[in-house]
Amino acid sequence: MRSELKNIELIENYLLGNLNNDQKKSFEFELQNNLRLKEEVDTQKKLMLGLSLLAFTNDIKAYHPEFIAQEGTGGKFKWFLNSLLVIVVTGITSLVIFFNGGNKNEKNNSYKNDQNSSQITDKNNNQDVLLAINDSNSQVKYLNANHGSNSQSIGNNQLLSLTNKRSKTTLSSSKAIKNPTVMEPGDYIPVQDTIVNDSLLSDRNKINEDIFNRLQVPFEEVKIQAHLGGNFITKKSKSKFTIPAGILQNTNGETVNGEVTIKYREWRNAAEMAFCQIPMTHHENGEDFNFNSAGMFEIRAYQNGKELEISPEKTISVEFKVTEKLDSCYFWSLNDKTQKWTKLDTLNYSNNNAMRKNVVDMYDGGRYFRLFGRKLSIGPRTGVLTGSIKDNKQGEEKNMSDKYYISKRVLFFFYKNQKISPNYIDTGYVYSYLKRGTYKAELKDGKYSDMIVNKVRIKKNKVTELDFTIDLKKNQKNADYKTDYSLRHTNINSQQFISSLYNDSIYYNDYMSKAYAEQMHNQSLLFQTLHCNKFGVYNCDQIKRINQPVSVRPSFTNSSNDEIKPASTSIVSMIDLKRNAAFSFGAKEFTCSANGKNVVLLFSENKIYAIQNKEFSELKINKSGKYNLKMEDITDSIHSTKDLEKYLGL
Amino acid sequence: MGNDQILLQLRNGKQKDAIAELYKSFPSVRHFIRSHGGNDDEAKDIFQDALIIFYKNAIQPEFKLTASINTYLFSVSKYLWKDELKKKNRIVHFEVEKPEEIYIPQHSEEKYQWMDKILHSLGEKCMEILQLFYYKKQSMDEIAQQLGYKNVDTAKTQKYKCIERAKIMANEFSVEFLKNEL
Repeated sequence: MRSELKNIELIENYLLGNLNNDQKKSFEFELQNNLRLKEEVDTQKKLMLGLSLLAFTNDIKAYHPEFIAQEGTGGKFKWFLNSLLVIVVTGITSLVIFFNGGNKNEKNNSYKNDQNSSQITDKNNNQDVLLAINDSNSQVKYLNANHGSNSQSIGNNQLLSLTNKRSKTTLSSSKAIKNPTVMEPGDYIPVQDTIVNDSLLSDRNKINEDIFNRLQVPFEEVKIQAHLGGNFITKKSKSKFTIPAGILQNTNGETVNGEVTIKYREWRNAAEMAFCQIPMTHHENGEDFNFNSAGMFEIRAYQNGKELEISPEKTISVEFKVTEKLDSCYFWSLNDKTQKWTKLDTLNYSNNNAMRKNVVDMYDGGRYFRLFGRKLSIGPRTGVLTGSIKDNKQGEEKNMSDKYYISKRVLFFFYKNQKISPNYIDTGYVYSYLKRGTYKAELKDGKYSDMIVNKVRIKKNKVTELDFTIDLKKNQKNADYKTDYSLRHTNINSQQFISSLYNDSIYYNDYMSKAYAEQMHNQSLLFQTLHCNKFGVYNCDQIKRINQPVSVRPSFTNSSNDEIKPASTSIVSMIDLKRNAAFSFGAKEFTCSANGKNVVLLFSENKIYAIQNKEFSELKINKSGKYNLKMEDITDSIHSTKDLEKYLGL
Repeated sequence: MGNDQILLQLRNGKQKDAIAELYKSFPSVRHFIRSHGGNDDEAKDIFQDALIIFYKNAIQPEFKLTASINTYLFSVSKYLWKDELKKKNRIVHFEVEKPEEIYIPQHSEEKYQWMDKILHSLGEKCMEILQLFYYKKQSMDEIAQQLGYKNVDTAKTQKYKCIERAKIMANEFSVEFLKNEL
């Protein structure tokens, strides 16, 4: 064992009282004279205490439902509990009937789908259980007393838990369920009294997954070789994830090799977050805060359907494109089990500003910086930017988006992210005109540059090697370029564009350079390098107190003034358009800001309803109370989160 | 179960039994909070905060109780509830004094919140081995067997590596905290 670890062992033995008298005296003598050692001992002591506290906190949260159920405080409570048990038993029966579809599987005869045996008792004759499945996203999707063919793959030895969406209470299994695909008699979760009104069990089967799924953001999927690592650019935001080689392990701690599937998705606006069932609140120092998000993402890895982990002390890096630059913005991680957020880091934008400045202004030579993830140097001549990009010689397709960006940005030939009209030209045709020579391009208003292509190699319509120099000049008059052929309109005629390529000595592209500048602006200011040491859900957020909070107990009517009776499984999503977040509640009560630009969505019994901000503000809700919300049925017009985004005007 | 037995269980890794005993105080706390403007969820949060405060004090070897644990938990819960009501600008209709024997950290002590951040960053593998040792008080033999390590030395090395990593992060955070303080 190396010396640092031996030192830690010694400190541990000291703190645990495992040293003999002589060793203790010697250590304490050393402590008095060695400030560094003293600090280390202090830190290690705090860590030991912190670990115990964290574990204790998790324990009391996990045990709470069990201990509550064991209370025997008197007649009223017992009556209440018994009523709850009756309701829950009925609920379980319905659920079992639904999921079993009439299948009376004798193997799991504790959970038959008939009325008489739906009351499940454990060995202590504690009545009734609620069984929940913690799915791969750590969100309880459904209850199933009989896993059968409807079960999802979950790990062994998991604590199962169910979170009541309305009351936000969680009940958990009293012990880890060892083999979740086959439930044994005696595996039980005591019923918690606060779940009494939740007829989730009976009504859950009414939720049409298809309609609810419309409101979910789908995963993107990529495959990488775990032993080689890899990276990918997301389609949505062009964020870049880098997974180093050899850092993925299975739940037993063994490093995995071979192909793995990376699943990724992100939520970038309130429409996408509306029904994502991810909490957007944070509790700190006894206060609740709401998130204002600059983007949230989830990343998971699987091999043969089993979820993978990141090895200890390893991280994946993310160049995440935030939605906007927010002050006092932090990077957060969601605990899959407790659904609580932990603040990991502060987001800092200053470096990106400096990078952008480096590109468009003159700087002293000899410095390196990164541009679109590529290391570029500013050469000894002042203001000269040089770079070269080479494709991977083994032919592995990597960073195609980067190359494309670099190509487009440097050459100013191409529309931003668009193909030239396919009727006339394709990318290969355009590339074939790229050759050695000098071009002129505008980098920024009033600034122009010579761009010299030193070397270019094209292979199968892709630029595989490009060596270029851009000479950054200041204050060059643009009069010289007025006679140049220019592309001034966004709706460019393809034929005109092609014509410009014939003039390869000097050309001038007003639109392209502005598009580039905008892209540079977006790229440099909005990308954050983040590090994730586990798979899960992450968020870039400010935390905000609710300004003038009011509690609304709503009743709902439709456009014909008929009452909408929300099912117990209904979800209300409250969106304040001044914030980038959405907050989920049950249908009985929700909180919003009296000063907010509020929109309320309701998902109930396979329908999606909404009240827009204009109608909501007409209610003039400035104090807590009961209010009637007149809702519009938007089910037929909402087929995806994009539709919802459009509806909300985001 | 007596006070001393509960303290012993908390210090020796038998937390569940101890928590079960401590939870016998919950009904009275819940009743108090319900009668003073709170609901069940708030009662649960306050009681759990009181438990954590009690635990922090209880695991210190020098900590001694002079009254029943029930009394302490109730006093701490009352004190926390009063604090909560004040924060929400609600009227407090009862009087309570801060219990002297129990150290209740003030909100300004944010410098220790970095500890939570560090621990969460360690990863589940590290957390598991560290909590089994420091919280559950299991021996390295048992831990090595349970977690499937080759031998005790391998498990110990992993444990110390996790602590080393946590200490490095702790040093980085405390420097950052000091910078902010200055």
